[in-house]
Amino acid sequence: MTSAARSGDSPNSGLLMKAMLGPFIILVLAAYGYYLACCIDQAPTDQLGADFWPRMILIFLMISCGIKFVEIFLNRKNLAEGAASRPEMNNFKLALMIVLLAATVVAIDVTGFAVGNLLFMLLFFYLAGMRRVVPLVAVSVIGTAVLVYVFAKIVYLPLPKGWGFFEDISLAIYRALFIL
Amino acid sequence: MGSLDLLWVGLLNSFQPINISMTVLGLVIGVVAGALPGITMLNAIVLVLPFTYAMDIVPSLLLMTGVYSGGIFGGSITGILFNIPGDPMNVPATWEGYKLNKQGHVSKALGVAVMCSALGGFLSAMVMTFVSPPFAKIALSFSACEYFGVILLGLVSVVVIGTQSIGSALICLFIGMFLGTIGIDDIYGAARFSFGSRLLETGISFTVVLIGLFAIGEVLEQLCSMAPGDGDKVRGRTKTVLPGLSDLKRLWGSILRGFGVGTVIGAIPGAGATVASFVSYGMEKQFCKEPEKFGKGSWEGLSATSAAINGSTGGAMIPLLTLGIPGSGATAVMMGAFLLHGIQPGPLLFTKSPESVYTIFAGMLTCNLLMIVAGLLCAMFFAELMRVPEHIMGAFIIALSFVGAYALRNDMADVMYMAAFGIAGYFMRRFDLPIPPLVLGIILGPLAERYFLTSMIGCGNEISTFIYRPVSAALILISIAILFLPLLQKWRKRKEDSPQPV
Repeated sequence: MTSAARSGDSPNSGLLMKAMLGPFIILVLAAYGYYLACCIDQAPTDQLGADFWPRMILIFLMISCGIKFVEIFLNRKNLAEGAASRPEMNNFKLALMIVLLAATVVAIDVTGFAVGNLLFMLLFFYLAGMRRVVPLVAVSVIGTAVLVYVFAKIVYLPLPKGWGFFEDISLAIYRALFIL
Repeated sequence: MGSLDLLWVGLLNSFQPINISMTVLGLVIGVVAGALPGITMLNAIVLVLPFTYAMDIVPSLLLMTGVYSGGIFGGSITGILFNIPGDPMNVPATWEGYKLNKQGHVSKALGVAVMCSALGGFLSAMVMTFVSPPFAKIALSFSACEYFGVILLGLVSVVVIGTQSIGSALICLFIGMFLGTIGIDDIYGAARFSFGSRLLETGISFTVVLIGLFAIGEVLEQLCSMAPGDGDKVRGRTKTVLPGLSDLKRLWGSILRGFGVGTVIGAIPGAGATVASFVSYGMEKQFCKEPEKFGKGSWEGLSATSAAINGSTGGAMIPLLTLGIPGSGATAVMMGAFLLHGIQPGPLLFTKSPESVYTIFAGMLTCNLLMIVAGLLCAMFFAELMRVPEHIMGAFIIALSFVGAYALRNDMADVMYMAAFGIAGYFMRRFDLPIPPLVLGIILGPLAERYFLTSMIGCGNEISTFIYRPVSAALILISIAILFLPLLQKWRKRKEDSPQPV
């Protein structure tokens, strides 16, 4: 094979492998799921049992992965175009947003919704590029107050109040908003 | 008195101040509740039930039908504006409506959704008024086999949705169906894929998946693709305009098909608006003139599914009023209202108090006409929110999603699932994996399992039962036709495009 041919083939085969990776991982997970489904409590012998439906779905999922492999192989010439057409994303910002989202979910349980949401909004606006302090704080405080009032007072939703010290703060906020 | 005379009396009654005000109040409550993520139409009906204790049965029922009709439509508003469907039944309207919004047609998309929902609801109320008893008998003859056929019809619409890559669409569909199997099994009570965890044993609510995939995924994508300073821009005012006569003339076929599917499926106890919206969406793709626009912003898709969801309201009232059998959660709560007033809905209701029944019929007709006004006003209010800068809107969408997920079971585990599915939704968008089939799978998968296994238990595992029953056989045949029609069309097109030998 000539060097030109090699240089033309390798990126395409790299892309092909990359495209195949996703369905391959799903195929492996589906196979593992099938193994787990076989361990589900069996029903009486004359009935299909609780394992029947997930096993059937997982078989169809594995077949679908096969269909996807064939599709990728048949469209292998267009893989480079598809990869190039994806819009540019700010990966650092994305990572920070995901960390913030995960941290808020954990924090709300501890700090309660009122405090957790206020902190989330302050950080979210900052990460989204809002730098003027007054609007940043004002929107976060008013927004949180409105949400807490609507859902705790009007809809009677028992929003999480947090633990210990944070519970006291949540209760103080509720009193300030005439919820309690 | 004949039906028309009774309907005239009912119309006069429905315009009494107390009745008309209850209808309008119900509509506004319904539209607002339907539009808020986490508060479903059913929640709203349950919340208004205590207020009906002090009322007569007719205003009570009109209040509840207002909430029902408005709530079913309300979820489409936030779906079209922010890509957050209020309820699973609004998902197909969101697919098309949000794409139309992105193309700059937000005003018209809102108007078409309101108008088609109102027309679908009005026509189904007409059907309810005139053909209730025979319709109810047919619907009641359906067994689990027929239900499975209907669900299968909804599931094969995945072919319609997955137009770009059938393989990806099928993978996402089966992942969704698999997620629906997690937790304690309905029929045998066995724990599946829960690994001994309490969180997983309770299963994954499709509403959580829906909020995560649509709302959080969308916010992450928008914010991470935004250039610095973009977020502070205040967007232009969004108006809501009703479609013109020429638009209605063009969409008339879609509206009629949507209403037909909605009414028939709505009348089948247990099927409901969600199945109706998916089936009508799938069917419309097969019949409309521009099927290639589905998934990219199709007016036909939006109008058919909007007409179907509200079309199902009239259908769902048929078994309730004629046979005393509630076909959905909403009609079950309405039955509660009947029983609270010491009235047993059913055939005797038509002979004992026909005027009340026809006032309810007339109330549903006026309710759907009034929905055009109430829906437009509410849509205008929500559309004003479009002017808010994107990052502020994003933060509120995420905060509302937290509350929406938490409100389901007052459990932070649902919020965790929602965040996880939100992140998954972002990556699915980034790698061009279609989200709609996954949602379809998690909503319809458990229903398909229930009806399939019930049929099999009922007939001693004889799979041929599905073929021997004419209705289920017809539904399965239609599903197969829908499944293979696009492939056949592709093959024919390729044959026509290939050079002919001289």
